[in-house]
Amino acid sequence: MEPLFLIHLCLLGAMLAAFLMASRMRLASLASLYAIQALLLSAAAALFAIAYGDAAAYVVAGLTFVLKVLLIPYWFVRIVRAHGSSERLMAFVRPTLLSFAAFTAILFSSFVAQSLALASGASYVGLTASIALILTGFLMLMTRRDMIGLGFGFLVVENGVFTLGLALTGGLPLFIELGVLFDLSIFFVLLVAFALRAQREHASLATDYLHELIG
Amino acid sequence: MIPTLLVCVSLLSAFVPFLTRSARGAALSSAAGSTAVFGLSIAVAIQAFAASGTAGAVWYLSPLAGLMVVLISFVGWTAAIASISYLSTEAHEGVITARQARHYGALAALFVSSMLLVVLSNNLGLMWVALEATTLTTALLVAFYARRGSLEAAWKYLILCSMGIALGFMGVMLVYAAAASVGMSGFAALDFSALLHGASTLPPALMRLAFAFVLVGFGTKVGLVPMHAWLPDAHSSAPSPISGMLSGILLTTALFAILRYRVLVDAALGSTQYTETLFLAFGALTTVVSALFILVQLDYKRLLAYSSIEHMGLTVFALGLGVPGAIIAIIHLVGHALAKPLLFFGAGNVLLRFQSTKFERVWGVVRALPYTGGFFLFGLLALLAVPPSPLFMSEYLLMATAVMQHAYLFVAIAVALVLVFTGFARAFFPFIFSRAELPSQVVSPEGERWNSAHTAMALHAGLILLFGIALFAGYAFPIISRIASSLS
Repeated sequence: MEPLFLIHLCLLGAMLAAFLMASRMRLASLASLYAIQALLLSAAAALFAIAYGDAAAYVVAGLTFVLKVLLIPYWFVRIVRAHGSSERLMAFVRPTLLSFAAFTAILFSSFVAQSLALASGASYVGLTASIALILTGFLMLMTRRDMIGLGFGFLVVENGVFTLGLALTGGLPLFIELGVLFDLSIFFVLLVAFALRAQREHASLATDYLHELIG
Repeated sequence: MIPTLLVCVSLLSAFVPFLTRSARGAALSSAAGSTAVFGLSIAVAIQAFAASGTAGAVWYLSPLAGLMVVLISFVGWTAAIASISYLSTEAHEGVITARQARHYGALAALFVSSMLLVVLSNNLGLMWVALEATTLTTALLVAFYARRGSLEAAWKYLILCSMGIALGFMGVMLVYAAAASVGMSGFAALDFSALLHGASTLPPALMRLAFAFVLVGFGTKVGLVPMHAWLPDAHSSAPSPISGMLSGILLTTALFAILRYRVLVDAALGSTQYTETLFLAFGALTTVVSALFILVQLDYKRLLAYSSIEHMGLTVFALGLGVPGAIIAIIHLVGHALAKPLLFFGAGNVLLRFQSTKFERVWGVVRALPYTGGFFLFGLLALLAVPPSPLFMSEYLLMATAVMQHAYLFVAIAVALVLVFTGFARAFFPFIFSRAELPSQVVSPEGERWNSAHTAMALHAGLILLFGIALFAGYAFPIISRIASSLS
């Protein structure tokens, strides 16, 4: 099979994972889907490296695999369980409505990607997948009521931005990609640190307790 | 060579507090480190002024970058000085431990290093990494205290700013794609000097889209409405010297990043109309909305934070007014970067004595804390553009230019400025001058002793006065014009 076809397959798989993540209400399920999405994206980066002989893309694919497939989901689940936080996640709306909204976001992405593909000359499938991931991530950020859901929402947006990089440019220079992954690691550490503090202070990761500062 | 040394020294100074044992030792060592950084920054600024637009593989030195380097390291230095008394008092009262003070010193130094990287970097990708690093280094400082609201402020700050920066990154990638479409590749495709050289050939449609993402994304860090929700919480929850840095220079640093892209987009489009329209719209909206919030504030640190949003709005509005607007924006940025940290350092002293940030619990500051009250009053007058404040000059020129170009927006800004003045007068008049009896725990038999925060405030007050006089006498305008030329 052509590498480009396989890359597109991976990106569409990542989009499907984002669609499923939008309505998942259990930590283990959300973490597994995130790991699958990241695995597909690192596979896409690796296929890109093979297709274009880009050595830097191998490094990015490898580091993405280690950080996003192995470390982040594993540590997220492990730390939450170790501190006795609830694995049942919360949202402002029902999962069915979330699924419908995520589907609408994907449909909308396919339209937006058309004009962007014309302007930039980038792959239509890649652009659709990246915009869908970003919008689904935003959807999670708007509808989730706990720090875990919000954290994963941001991580999905970040995956969308990574996909956009692949679609538009075939990835940024290695030095910049390393910087982005470094920033992502620090972000994850802070996310976990704040979640643990919330668990200590309120015995919950719900953001309902974080509504004092208004006006 | 000197910029590399500056960034390295700044990074190394983050480790110095760990060599000390006490909170005061950590604060003193941080101050020593930031003194070295400030000294080196002057050398970098001189180099930047001498050779406009010098580009190396890593650094890009322009007069504007030189100004930013000096502002960042100066405010970093005075914040470190103010932190000596602030941290010592908090440690003495058992609010923080020596370990926390060491972390504070290290994070503050990393914060300054990341801002220096933003303004000096020649690579737009590296600039993005550094801008995100400013969020990550300061998020823990916003969550520094175990107080109610600290976690919420830090959480909002982390999520909203990271989201904004992620959107900004899409702008970076669109610029990269635009550069790739005209044959640039690899590291050079994000190299600012190379992009500037070939800016007129970049595809306008992609550059227009890229700027929209950059403005909304990095604009979140500038505090532009409606992406400002994190700012009042973060700036009021952080320790006061850090609030001074956040308000005084972080917002300006994020705006600097937007201005880098603005130069490229204007050149690609062959016109400044697109960016100026966006600046006018966001600037006017930000100024008006923040003025309304200033009217109803009950907390003096939050009010100062909203005032920062207002001043960023005015600056962005000025940037939409063509060539004179660039000069006005530079004056305004410098004036604000000098006045706002002074007020936050003063707010730190007030908080330590009154143990509250609520207006209802703080009054008669000038009697309880004569030095702090005096400097605070000076800072307020400077911020409210009372002559010879530099902000008087910038706001006067702003209004004079706006009335000629955009009469409706002029009216909106004028109304907003009146609201801001009213809000400040209503809130701060009793705060400073009230004759009511002071709470017993506030009255100290020995009055107020001169401390390091006063030294920091005096440095800011002196510079505000000098800069204001230089503007009124006309000496500063040739230098400001040269700096403003970096924006076109």
